[in-house]
Amino acid sequence: MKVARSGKTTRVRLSLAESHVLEQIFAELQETLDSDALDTDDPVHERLFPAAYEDDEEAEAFRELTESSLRQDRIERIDQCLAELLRARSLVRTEIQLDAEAADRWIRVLNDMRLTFGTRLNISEDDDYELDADDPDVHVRARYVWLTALQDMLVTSLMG
Amino acid sequence: MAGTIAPERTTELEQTPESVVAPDQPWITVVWNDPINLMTYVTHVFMTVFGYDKSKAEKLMLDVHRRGRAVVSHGTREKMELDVNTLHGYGLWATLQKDA
Repeated sequence: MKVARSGKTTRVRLSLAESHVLEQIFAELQETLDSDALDTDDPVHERLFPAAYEDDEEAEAFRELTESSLRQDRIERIDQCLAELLRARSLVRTEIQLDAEAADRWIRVLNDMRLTFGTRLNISEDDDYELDADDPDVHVRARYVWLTALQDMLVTSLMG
Repeated sequence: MAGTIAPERTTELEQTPESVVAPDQPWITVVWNDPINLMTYVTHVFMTVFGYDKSKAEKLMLDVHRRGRAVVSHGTREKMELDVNTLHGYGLWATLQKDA
């Protein structure tokens, strides 16, 4: 994984294995965002569509107005990123070229993935981002750590 | 007698109490600390959504990180609902409330 910026273009280079993992995570997030799949009691739902008001009734009324378009926007962003990923994949490597707008979109999709995995893993403030082979969640954690590194590289490159 | 100067005065007297009783910006948007969003990402969001420069965005991000919350915008309730909705779209934990 490598992120480099020249002028207004940010280039993300992924190995073939990395690009396949990312493709799979895109698909998983699409599935999670499916309204039938995501229970309103699920902490991931609460994290992706947080309460806007302290008052429960007001928060619920706000959610009713905003949730479906937030969900639709998220799904569309994944669709676009997935299409870019697949277009950029060759037999040997994947190199995605992003302008500022596309980079912002990628960063947001990566964040939705991190919020989803991080909530499932119950990530705490002082998490050490270490991997432990005996941890039953080690594979999810490995993805979380990798997504975090990619997002951080992209944001840092964008802020110059 | 009231012909020439009175109307101007009347206007002035009517406007003053109105601006005191109903200030234009009684609502605020608050962003709360969470363990997943990266500090660099939160800074990026404040710069992108509000057009804040890097130093202001970083200061707000550090307030969120260290104090647990920061007020990131002020305005009408409608405007704050838009801000909160935009921040939710970026995955930040944002709420709105009346400015105390």
